[in-house]
Parts: sequence; C-alpha cells; structure tokens
Amino acid sequence: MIILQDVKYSRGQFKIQQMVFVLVAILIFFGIVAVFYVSIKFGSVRQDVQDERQEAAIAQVRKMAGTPEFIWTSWEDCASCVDMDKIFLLKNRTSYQGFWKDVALLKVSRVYPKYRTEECTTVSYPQCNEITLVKKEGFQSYESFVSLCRYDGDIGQARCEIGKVIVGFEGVENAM
Amino acid sequence: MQCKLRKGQEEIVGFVLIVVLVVIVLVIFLGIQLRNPKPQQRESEVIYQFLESSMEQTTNCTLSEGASYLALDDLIRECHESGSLCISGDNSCDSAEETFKKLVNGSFVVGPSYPHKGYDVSALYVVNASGQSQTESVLNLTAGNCSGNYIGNSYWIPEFPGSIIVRTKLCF
Repeated sequence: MIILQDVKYSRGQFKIQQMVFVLVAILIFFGIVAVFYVSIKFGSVRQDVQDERQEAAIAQVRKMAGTPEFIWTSWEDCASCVDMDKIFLLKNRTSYQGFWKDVALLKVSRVYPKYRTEECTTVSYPQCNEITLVKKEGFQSYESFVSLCRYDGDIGQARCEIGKVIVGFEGVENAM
Repeated sequence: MQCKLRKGQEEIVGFVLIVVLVVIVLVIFLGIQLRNPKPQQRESEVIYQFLESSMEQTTNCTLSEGASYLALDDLIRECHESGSLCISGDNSCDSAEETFKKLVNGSFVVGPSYPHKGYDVSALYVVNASGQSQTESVLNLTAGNCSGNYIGNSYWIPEFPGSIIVRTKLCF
C-alpha cells in the first residue's frame, strides 16, 4: 500500500515537471518570435528620428530667412521671399561683421537659373549664383528653399527666382 | 514497460506536432505582414518650402505688351482659367509646365543611381459643387520610377470657387 502511494506521488510530480518544461519551451519560443517581429517592425525608428531632427533644423534655417536683414518687404504675402539686393549690400558691410555670432556658414545660393559666375561681386551681380556672408571652418550645414527677389530694371518689375539659404552651425558636426 | 515507452513517445509526437503547427501559422502570418508592404509616405517640410518658393518664380510669360511677367502660381491659374497665350507665342500651360520642370530638375537630382529615384508633380483643380467634390487636372509632370516610398507635400493656390492643389512627391 505504501509502495503504491509512493508510485502515485512520483507520477504526479513527473506530470507537473512535464507541464513546466512545456510551458517554459513555449514561452522561450514566443519570446524569440516576438524579438524578431519587434526588430523588423521598429528597425526604421532611428532613421525616422534623424529625419525629424533634420526637418526641425531646416525649419530653423527658414526662420533665419524671415529676419529683417533678409526679408523682402515689397510684398506682404510672401513668407518665402528674401531680398537679394539687401543681402548683397550686407556682404561687404563692416558693421555686420560678427553679427551672426554662432553661425559658421551663412550664404544664399541660386538654384535656377544658374549663371557661370559662382560668387557674386560688384561686377558680376546679379548674374551670379552665390552670396556668402559668413564662412568659417568646422560646421554642419542645413539649407532651406527660399525665393530670391530683386528689382530687375530690364523688365521694370521685381524678379523672383528659387534659391536656398544655407546655414552652418559651429560644433555640431556630429549632431546627426 | 512497452506500453509506458509508447505513451512517452506519443506525448513527444503530440508536442512536436503542436510546435510545428504553431510555427507554420506564424510563418504565414509574418509572410503576409512583410510581403508587399504599402509604400510609406512622409510629409516633408523641404518639399513644402520648395513648392512655396517655386510659386513665386517669375516666369518668361506675359499676356500682353507692357503687362507684368507672371509668377508661376498666376501662370498655373491662367492655364486653368483660359489656357491663354503668352506674347512669346507659348501656351500658358506649356510655359507653366516647362518652368516647373526646370525648377524641379534644378532642385532635385533624380535617377536610378541617385537617392531619389523619381518625382511626380501634379496640379489639380478641386471644387465642391452640390456637396460633391469635382477635380480637374491642370498639370502633370513625372520622371523616373515612383512606385516605392516617397516624401511629399502639397500647396494650395486659391482659385475661386475652388482651389488648385499642387502636389509633389519625391520618390526613393
């Protein structure tokens, strides 16, 4: 009788052990599957964060284009317009040297149409492509599309052409 | 004893069968989830700024002697309203399309060996009449391959009683 009871007790324990092993195996299996699924599904999150940061930086550059030194005031309803004549005059103005303190690069570049002369001078303006206001070493640059507007005497009206404001910030080379 | 061995083997077979069934179901589920994913789209501030700036571009089209040269948004409106001719002889729609194409090609380099594989630009006139939305195509420009993921945005040009929506997609 005692021997029979011992046997029953061992069998019960054996059954419990079996169930525990099965449950642990199932848990490990589903855990591995879940890890695979999550890694595939969320693999692009880092890239998405970088893209969002870049867009935020580009929005900041656009705000620079809205400052009084850049803005085109002839039309009230043009948020993207900058005054190219005003920017060109600022280029060699000594009172504006050091005005943009934390900026390592600040330039305005024409996208279309492109001319042969790259940097604008008093001789080549306005048939030129770039006006550089600040240029130092060591920066990460961001650019924003704007409309470069100026008075064109040939057609007797304001002419606007698509361009970019390019801003480089010091000490953020590895920000991205 | 043989009965005990058979029972153990039966249990093992049963367990293996269950595991195999679950694996098959999971593989089918993962396969459906990961195969042919929908092209991902993202709204882009860069594209919006491009569109906003492009609309101010002074074109080479003027409708009459002494009149102002039209900005691109006005030229697109003119194309939709009457398709009138510029004094150079070009049709306003052709002039708008040509200008827009040059702006897009100057701003974004597309091609199979570049990060951007193609673009798709469209201008649609949309108006709500009698509770129904009516659309009319004004402009359409495509280049390269635009079947995958893309970034895009749209710009609204008021054109009473509706609006012209200019959409640009830059594809990866």
